[in-house]
Amino acid sequence: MYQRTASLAFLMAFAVLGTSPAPSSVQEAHDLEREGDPLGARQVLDRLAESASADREALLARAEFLDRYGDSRAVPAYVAALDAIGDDDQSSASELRRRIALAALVHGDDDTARSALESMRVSGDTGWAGSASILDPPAPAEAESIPVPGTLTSFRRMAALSTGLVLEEILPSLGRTIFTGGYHASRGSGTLERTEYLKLLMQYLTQARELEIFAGSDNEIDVPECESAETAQLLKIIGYRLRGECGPAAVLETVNPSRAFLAIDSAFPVAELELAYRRGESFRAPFGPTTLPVLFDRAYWRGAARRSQEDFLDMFIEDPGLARLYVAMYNLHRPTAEALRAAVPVQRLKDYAPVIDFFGAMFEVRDGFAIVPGGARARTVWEKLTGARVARGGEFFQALVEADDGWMAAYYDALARIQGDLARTYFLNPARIERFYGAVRGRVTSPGPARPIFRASADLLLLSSRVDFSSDGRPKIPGGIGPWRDLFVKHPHGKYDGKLTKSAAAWKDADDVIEAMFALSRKAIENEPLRMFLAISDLDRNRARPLSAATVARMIRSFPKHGEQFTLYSDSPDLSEDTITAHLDAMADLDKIGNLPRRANSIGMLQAQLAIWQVLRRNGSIPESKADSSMRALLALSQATNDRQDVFELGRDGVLALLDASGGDPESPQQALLELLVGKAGPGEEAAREEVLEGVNQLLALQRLVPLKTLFDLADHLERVSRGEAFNVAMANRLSANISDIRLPRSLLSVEESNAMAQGRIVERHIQQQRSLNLRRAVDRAQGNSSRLLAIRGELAPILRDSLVGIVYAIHAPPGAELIRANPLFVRSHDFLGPENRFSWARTRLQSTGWPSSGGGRLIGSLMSLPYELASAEQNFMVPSERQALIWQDLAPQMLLGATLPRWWGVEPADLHYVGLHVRMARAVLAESALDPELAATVHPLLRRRVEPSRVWKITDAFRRGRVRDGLSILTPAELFDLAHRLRETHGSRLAEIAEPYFSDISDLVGRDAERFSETRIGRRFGMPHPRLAHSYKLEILNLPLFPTLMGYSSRILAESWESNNLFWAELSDELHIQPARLSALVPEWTQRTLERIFATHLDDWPALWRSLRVIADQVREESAVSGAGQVAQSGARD
Amino acid sequence: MSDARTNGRMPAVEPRLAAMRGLPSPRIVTIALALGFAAIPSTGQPQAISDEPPALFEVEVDLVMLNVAVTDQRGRYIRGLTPQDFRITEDGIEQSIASFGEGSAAPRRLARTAVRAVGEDPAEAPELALSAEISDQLVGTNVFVLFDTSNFMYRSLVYAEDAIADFIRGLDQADSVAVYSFSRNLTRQASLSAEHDSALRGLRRSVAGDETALYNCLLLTLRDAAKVSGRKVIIVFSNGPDNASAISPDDVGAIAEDEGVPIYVISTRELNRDRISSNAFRRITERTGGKAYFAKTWQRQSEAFVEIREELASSYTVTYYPQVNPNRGWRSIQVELTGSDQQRYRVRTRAGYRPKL
Repeated sequence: MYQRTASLAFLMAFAVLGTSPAPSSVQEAHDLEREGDPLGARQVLDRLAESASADREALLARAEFLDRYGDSRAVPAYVAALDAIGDDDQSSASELRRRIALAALVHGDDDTARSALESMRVSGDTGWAGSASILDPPAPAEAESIPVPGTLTSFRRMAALSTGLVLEEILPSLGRTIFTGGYHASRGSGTLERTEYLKLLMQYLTQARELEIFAGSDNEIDVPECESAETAQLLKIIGYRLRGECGPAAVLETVNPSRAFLAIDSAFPVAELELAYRRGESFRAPFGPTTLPVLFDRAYWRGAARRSQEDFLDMFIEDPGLARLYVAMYNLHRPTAEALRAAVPVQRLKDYAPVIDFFGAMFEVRDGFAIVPGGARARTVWEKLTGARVARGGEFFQALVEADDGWMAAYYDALARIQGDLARTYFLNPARIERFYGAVRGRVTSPGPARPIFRASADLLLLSSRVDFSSDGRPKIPGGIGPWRDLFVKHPHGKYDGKLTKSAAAWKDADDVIEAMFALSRKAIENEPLRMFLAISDLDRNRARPLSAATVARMIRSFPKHGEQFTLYSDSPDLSEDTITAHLDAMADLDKIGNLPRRANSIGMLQAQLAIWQVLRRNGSIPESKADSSMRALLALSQATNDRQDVFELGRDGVLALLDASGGDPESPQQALLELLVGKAGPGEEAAREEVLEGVNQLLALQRLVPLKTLFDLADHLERVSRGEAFNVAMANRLSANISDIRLPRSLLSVEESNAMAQGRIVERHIQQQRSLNLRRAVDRAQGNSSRLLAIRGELAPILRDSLVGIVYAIHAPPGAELIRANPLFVRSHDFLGPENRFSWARTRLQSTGWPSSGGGRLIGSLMSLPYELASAEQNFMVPSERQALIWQDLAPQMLLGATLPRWWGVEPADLHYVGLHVRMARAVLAESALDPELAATVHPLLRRRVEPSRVWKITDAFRRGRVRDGLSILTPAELFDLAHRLRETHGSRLAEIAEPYFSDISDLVGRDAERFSETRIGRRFGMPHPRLAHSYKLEILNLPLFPTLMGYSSRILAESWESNNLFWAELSDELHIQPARLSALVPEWTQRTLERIFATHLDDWPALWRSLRVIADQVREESAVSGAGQVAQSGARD
Repeated sequence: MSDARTNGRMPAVEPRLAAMRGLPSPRIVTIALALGFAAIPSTGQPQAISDEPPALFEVEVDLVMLNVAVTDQRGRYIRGLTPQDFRITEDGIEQSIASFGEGSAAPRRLARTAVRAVGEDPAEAPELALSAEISDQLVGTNVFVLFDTSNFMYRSLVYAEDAIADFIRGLDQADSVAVYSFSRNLTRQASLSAEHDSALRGLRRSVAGDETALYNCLLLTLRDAAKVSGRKVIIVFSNGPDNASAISPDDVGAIAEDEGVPIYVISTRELNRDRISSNAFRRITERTGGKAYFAKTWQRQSEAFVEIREELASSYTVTYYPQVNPNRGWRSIQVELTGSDQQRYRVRTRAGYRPKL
């Protein structure tokens, strides 16, 4: 192992910490950095380095600065510092060579890394035992390969494979598309039939083979001139003919549409061919077979094929079972795949391919042993369950996948992913492993969890990930056992499970409840108690005083109808139980209102106010001390009498209560609320905040919503009119100016369209009511009657509802916000009742797309999941920058949500730097572990705690082959950040030796303000909301492993477990010295660009997201280079 | 051009057009004027010229551009008309034509326009005149072709491409063209460019498949078109049914009307096969001054393209600076021919617009 020298420690202290006398400019840079001006510091250091008088201390200070900020120019800067040191100081030179080697490896500058390592060897440094892989990378193993006709570009297009895949990933990705989208069961017989996708792919392969023959042995399509035999031959293959004479009039037109379609769809250069004919030029295009590497060898797969065929690709495409086995084995930890291959005949493995594919990611055979969840203590129980010996890894996993239709493998996978010491200790206790598996397995194991196209064991994974524990290691059961026992024994919502109904009466402790939840976790339906348990556990998790049994029992009763609203309580864990109960009561009361428009108005107004309250609580505008009173004030709305004016008055009282609790100015209610919702800006953040506010106000104006102030003034005026004051027509006109321009969609439509719009009558009535409001006439009709005049204020209730709902929409608007901008009725169309009036408290959803959208899409349901649904609707307006790449439906909204919910006010450059330093430190330590086996033995176990064995193997394999940067890119920013934290917790002293210049800088930051950099505070700044995983919109970092795509959630849980985006943007902004306040505008834009750049091959293809993030970061770096450091401009593409 | 263009996010415009985006666009500017009369520089940027303390005078400098097609009773285009043949009113307020052009030819800049409030003495109103720079932008047409590659179009995709390719080849050299395709999402196949070959290359790179979100993608195309100065049209080539949009055709039509972008639709379905789509096509084309064609066969589609090309070459581009109008909502536009013998002709242009907020 490499030993750090003392002399550089001096230099470190000198340059970074400034504890020794330093040149004034270096000190100035250091001071600027400490004051939060890294850009200024960098400029000072740059100037210093460029000056003729630059000394080695200055050069070193600059190199370390660049290194600490992740700038790839750190490598040449270190080299310059090394040159300046010369032979004067061997120990410092030695440390600098080490730094050069590591920085160069991290930044992918392998030549410089090799050069540094070589000079270390020459100069006699002890060096690293593993540096040989860099100095002399082993030749790649000779892998078997197969030919694929035609160019790779065409094949990828026709097979719908991402352009970001490397060659060895092509076959497994193709395999996945074949078994997920290549076949469908025929009607009647149930036999597998090819889908259109596969038919086209096979037709393309035929055409490509014909073109290959045409291209000949030199693999080039060569048409020397238009008037040639080659022209006729080529055009026949691609389905075109020449119209007009060769020369300027030459035009290619379709003669065989099937062939022409294949040519176009596979990107054959038809336009270029036509151009060549018109210009009288020859046409040349490379067209030869592409070679793809095959896992293991071809003979192995032939052994599993349903029908042996000469052409491997044909055999692969025509056998979805074989394709799936290939995918499953490719994705396994490679030594485990080898062990299975050796232990089990391929035909037999093929039968279990779906189980291996879904649940094999955590399988690991090391030195012949299966590495089981629970370690050595749990070996016996796993051997008992599987009937196979752990010491015979291959056979153990064979037994595991063959057991119980896949349930045991699903259970194994869930347990192997558990994070956190308390959870591991509890769940991986041998007795519990066996007991809980008994519950999961049940008596009948069919159907297995690997039968559907997506993993069916979502709840199993969620349960083992999300149970909360008390400090004594016992699982927390919200409200104790009682309410849960009653749920099964008294079954207020109907019987869930006959067996549990019987056994629940005898429950004694938490294990009994957890066992019941495991039993429910395998059910696709009737698992409502488990969803209740997870939701209530999440909201109970952060409460200082856990919920009482009575409140939990009440929540359980309310869950089926109002459970979606529980997120309110998660986001404000200090809310009293009385207030929670009052909220549950309020929802129940509102459901009883018989007059549907009034019910919709009351529910809409209350939900909008609570949504505003939720944001104000989250951002701290409403202090904890006023959480209860302010929410209770809003709930008064549910007590409105049948008098319509009551709804308006209570609604206005609610707004004033919100302002009172948050210190907003009641004289300008709307502006005050918006400013509070956008959040308080610190010094230097005002302009960025103004920009956000302006965007929000613009959306409200486009929706032609009436400002709160106008409404309140009008209401006050009507009150004065009731006491005899003259009616102010101008004031009424201000109101009507906003709504007179509204046209109902139905009025524009033809009879057919109008009939096609089957739903939305209530919404139309709501809008029509506002359009027909004529205050002047109403006042005239009241004929001076005081109570009738007062009652006119009730007409303002629907308008107030829309103004409040509009504020919630605008504040959560995703980048672009096309739906809000283009449809002036979008907010007013929100349907708070939904079909059969059953959706008032259900999750928000988009209604009426496609044909029925002649009237425009609208949202129905509650506002609780509005931020997600707005983002979800908005993704349809993204423009993929990669041809053929589609927007990832269940992932994109969560990414947008994570970009728009955080406001970056109060974030300081030091916060960004803290994140950046951790990620960089993790990379540097891992890079060193590629050179130092001893360090690898320390770091890799920490890595394995979170990262699946298959990926850890890929990383180490890349390191072994000398591709350090490739290996590092396998890890996500969240994983790197987490790894750095774990290293600091467990190996702090070691980091002080090897992780400079990062470690000192981190210590310096933490030393200055430890609380600022606590896990919770960092999570609040750079975390993501987890509405499904944690039933909360608050920002946090859960540090969970990446979840796969799960049935019932699609990629949504995967997206919530992807916590890398804001950490990544923080690291990038730190590198480029971007002011944090600007990130409120930049991060949504970068995120949108990232989503538009993704080209994923399948729903689990998160590496495509990671690739896209890196591409956008490179673009931002280029933009920064053009604009000047710290000056990244917004593109304004969606302004 | 910015890097944004290379990653496909920006409306793909050539440098020539991008540079124009900074020109007077929009809105209302509050200018300081002498109490008397002030001339407006030819760039259209109002400017204060007085030593006296200025008075604030709000002037609308949104240039309104109209594509006006004039046809006889048999649908033949009437060419050779002059500005004097037209009378334009907005909400009944007569407007002065700032420029006038026919087809792709360079428009003529006309006399300065006095912009005044209703009832105000014309002598006291500021004047605006179209700058040579803006006038240059009106040469040629920016044509955005929006091409349906969704599953509905699957079988006819290659024929549709042939028809579009013919259309592009036949465009005037002064015209720029962009080719976009759509299914569920929009794809910018070829950015707006006077190089028609690049549009052909983009066209031939399209990929088929997925659901149809015509109106969502038409809206995005409009947003791109709106960022480009000069005369512009959108030509939609689609089968018709939309099964994925969340935006209604009428909302898109309203935005196109506001932006002054005529929409032409070539539907590959017969008129009566899908009345819902047909009605929607008719409404949005009529209100924007475009036209809908229902052409099931390849030959009919080609004819429709020929007719659109002819319309582009034969229609008039008329601009004016609106007189001060207190109406901030929808304003109706009326274009009439003044000559008594011209009353039998049919004039087609957008019905009105809403000034920008």
